[in-house]
Amino acid sequence: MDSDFNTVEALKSVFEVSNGVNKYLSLTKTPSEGLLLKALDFYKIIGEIFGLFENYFKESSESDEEEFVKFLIELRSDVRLQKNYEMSDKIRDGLKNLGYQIEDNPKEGTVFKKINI
Amino acid sequence: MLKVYNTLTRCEEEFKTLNEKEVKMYVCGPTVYDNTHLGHGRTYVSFDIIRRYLEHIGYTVNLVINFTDIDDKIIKRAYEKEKDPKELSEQFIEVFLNDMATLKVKPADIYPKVTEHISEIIAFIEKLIERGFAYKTEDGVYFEVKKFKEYGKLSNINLEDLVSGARVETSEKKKNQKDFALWKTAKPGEPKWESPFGEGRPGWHIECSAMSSKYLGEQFDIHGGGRDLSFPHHENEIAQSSAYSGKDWVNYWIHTGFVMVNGEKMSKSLGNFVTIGDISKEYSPEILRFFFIQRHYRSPIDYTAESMNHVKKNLEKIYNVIENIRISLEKS
Repeated sequence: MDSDFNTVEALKSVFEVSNGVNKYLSLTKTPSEGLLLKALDFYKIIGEIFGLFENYFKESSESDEEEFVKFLIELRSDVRLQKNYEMSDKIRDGLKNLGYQIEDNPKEGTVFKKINI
Repeated sequence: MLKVYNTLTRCEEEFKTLNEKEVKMYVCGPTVYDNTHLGHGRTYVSFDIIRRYLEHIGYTVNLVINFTDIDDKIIKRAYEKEKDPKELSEQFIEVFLNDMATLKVKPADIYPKVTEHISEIIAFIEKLIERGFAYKTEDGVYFEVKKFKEYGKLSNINLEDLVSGARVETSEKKKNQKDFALWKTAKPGEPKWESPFGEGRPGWHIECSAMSSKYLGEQFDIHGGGRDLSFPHHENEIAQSSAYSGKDWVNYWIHTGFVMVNGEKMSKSLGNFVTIGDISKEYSPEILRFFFIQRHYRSPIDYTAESMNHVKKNLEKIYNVIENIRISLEKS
């Protein structure tokens, strides 16, 4: 950014970091909390400079909503056990429209990601 | 060390402020006769990022963006819509401010309106006349370009090579066709103000010189705007302000590049005119902001469905990582 506000180059770095973080998370069983917090800070700073992720970092303290999402994910698992895949997909699609993307992960179970774009 | 490309010198220079940790910045604002369009979006988001980065590295930024709320275009549009020009401009000022908020552009410190600074503009013109740079005619007051020796230094244009008529009004009353209006004598039915040079209204260029000097002083650090404003608007501002103070005016001139739509220049006549409102119906404002960030502010940018979808995927990738971090932290 010191080079005439070169956001293009800055973004390249952001993607490099992102790839690095993803790789780290997939390889390490017990990722270092300190490292992760530092990474989160990095994105907060990027967010401030680029004017991105504002709503995301503000809303991070909405634990009530997340409880509802977790409950719906639980319901979805029950419904899948009953082999009602139509209902399971409906819950998944509905949550996606609300900004929560569900991922069925063999290792960690079903997780949700707040991606509201 | 921050380096900034300066249109005035056509090279990247080390950024040095006039006053230590303070940056005084003026960006030409919109003529408020229509909805905020893609070009505006690109320009103001770009300057928003510049402002945010300056703040990040420790500067306080004093940002002024004007509203041209009286202009030929406003008068014409108001007439078409059978509205009062003031009412029309207020309407579109609100649209603009809402669109800027939607795009997460941090508000300027002040948004001076031309109609609220008529007396400052008049005083500025009077001084230019006094110093011998401006003269009065039947149809207004003009700046005498020949008197300003450095005219053309921003756009690298030779006075002799200039083609008359390019957004300069032709008139027999002018001493030289390149001379531009500071004050326009009132026409029937148009809004007008009293002045020592007769009833009328300000010319387009003088407002930025007068208002920027009121809020940022005789000299300031950065003046920004779209590339298309470089000539004649910014060139004329330099002439006016330097003639007024007798000093060099702005240190860094920063211009944003053009916006195209599907490979063509965006224009109403081509039917590819895109407003921020239009885009917001299809894509979240954050995607549009990210779209602007993906190109250097000086480069031209081409708005296409393909590039927007590409941008959306890239933004999703980043959100994905942040969420992965969050999930991982929650487990520990």
